[in-house]
Amino acid sequence: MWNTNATTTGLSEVLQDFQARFNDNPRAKKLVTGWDRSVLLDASNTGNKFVLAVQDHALREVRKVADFDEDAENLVHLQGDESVLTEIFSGRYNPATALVDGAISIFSSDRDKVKLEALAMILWRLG
Amino acid sequence: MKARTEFLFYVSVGVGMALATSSFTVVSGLFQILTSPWVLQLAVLLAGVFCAVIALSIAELASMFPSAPGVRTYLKAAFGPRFSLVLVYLYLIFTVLMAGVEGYMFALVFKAAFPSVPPTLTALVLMGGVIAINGVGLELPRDLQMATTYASVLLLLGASAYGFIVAPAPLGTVVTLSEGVSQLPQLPAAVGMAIFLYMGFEWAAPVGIKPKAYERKIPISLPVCVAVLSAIYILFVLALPLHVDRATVAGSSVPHVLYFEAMFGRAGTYVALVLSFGAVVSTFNAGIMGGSRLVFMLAREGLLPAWCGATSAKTGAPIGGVLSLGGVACVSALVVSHYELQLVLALISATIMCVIYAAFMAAALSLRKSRPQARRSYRTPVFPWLQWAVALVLPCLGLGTLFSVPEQGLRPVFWMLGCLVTALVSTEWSLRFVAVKEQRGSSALAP
Repeated sequence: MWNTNATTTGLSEVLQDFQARFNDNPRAKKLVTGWDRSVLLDASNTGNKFVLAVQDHALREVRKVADFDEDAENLVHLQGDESVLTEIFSGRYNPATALVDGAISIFSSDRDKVKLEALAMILWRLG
Repeated sequence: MKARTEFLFYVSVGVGMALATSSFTVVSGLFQILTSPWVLQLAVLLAGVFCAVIALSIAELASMFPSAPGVRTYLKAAFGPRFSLVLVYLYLIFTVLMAGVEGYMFALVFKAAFPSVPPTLTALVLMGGVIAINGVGLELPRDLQMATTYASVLLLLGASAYGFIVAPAPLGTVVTLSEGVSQLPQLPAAVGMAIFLYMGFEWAAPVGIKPKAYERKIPISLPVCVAVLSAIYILFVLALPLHVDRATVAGSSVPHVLYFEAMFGRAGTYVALVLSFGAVVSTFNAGIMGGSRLVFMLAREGLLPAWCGATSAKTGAPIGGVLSLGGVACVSALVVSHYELQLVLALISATIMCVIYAAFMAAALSLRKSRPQARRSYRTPVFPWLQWAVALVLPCLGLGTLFSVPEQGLRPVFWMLGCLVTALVSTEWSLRFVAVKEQRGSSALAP
């Protein structure tokens, strides 16, 4: 089952924790080799937006943004309620299940969706 | 991606998925049950009208659940996990059957161009190639996918138009009104079969690149896909008997090869091969990729064994799903090639999709009642009573399709029953599998 020890603080704190977990995981770093992307987290109910910058095998930056160009190159756009995004990035909600449940939307190529799901598996299930 | 290109991309996904080599096998099947070109065209047109109505309901569902895998998400939201799982398994069975048929049909076209190569070998090499491509996580670039699809569309439209220009006999000699009237009783079954020609247009629904795509672009692209396919097939089924004898068309699994050969001689065989290759690239590859993601998601939900959800450590590709689905698809191709089951399986596929499309329509209506306040950036303009009518008629059309080719006897019915039993057993097994896992989890946590 999913990790239930994650903290229950807000999305911002959860993402900081996620960044540390990501950068400490060699399998996650291997998985993002050559996969430089900006992952936009778009909390549809609060309007909060965060960008996770994946570059050179690492999650380089997590920052809150006021707005973001949806036409930007290499963008993976995740949209959902802030509580759902928090659950996903704290490892309590499988993103593949969240997608099936209609709780989140992912706007990207199929391969990027697959990559995100694989990352979640590594970080929260097998990591 | 620019706005206009983005719209063209969505249309290319839907049209590309539907425009398969096996579609021409169904054209042949339609010529087996109907000899009147205008009744045949009417069947294709009516199937298109049905699919346009279905497309608008799917657009509404997609606007509620953007980017979600429709067959699981829409039906689970509307009808709960058990019923939706039965339909998901039916959909996976459909994917496997179609992969087998599509692989073998491509192999027959390849054999027409290179007679010394055995079709079974071609089909297996093709399957192996697609499994390898998906296993290593390669994705067809969007621009290439669009170019392939639109080139195929233009080729078919152009070849059909050229067929009218160089027709040895005027169109009026082929289309006679009186001949068709006696065939109208076969029309419902033919419509069910013709729905096969449009199957796959719904794949445009989950591929939205931006949230705003679900407000207009995706909802419009779905019926546009149906309209483009209608134009292609109506022109093709009209041009085909102008150059190839109807009985010959009815007796061939790859009538487009005969048409292109009649039009362009030996070079036509290679044109048909290029067209079929384009169809395989867009349909077959995407089908295995989409199906394997569905297997992956079921595994992540705990409904299938964990190995089905295995992913590549390097690319993240769903290797478990690709290998399991691809492996079964290889078996399907072998069975199809050995027993020449292409038409039977195409009929079953049409029936399965009639049921699934009916379920989509019922889901859209059901969710309007159960979740009236849910976000909907698009609502189908079709009257609810008409949606219900189409939802009720579709399974009947599907059922009629099973009996549409008398030469096949009850074979399609037995195969369909087999598919249904497999889906039901798989569903029960999956639900018990989850229950046992949860029980073990609870026991492990107990003091």
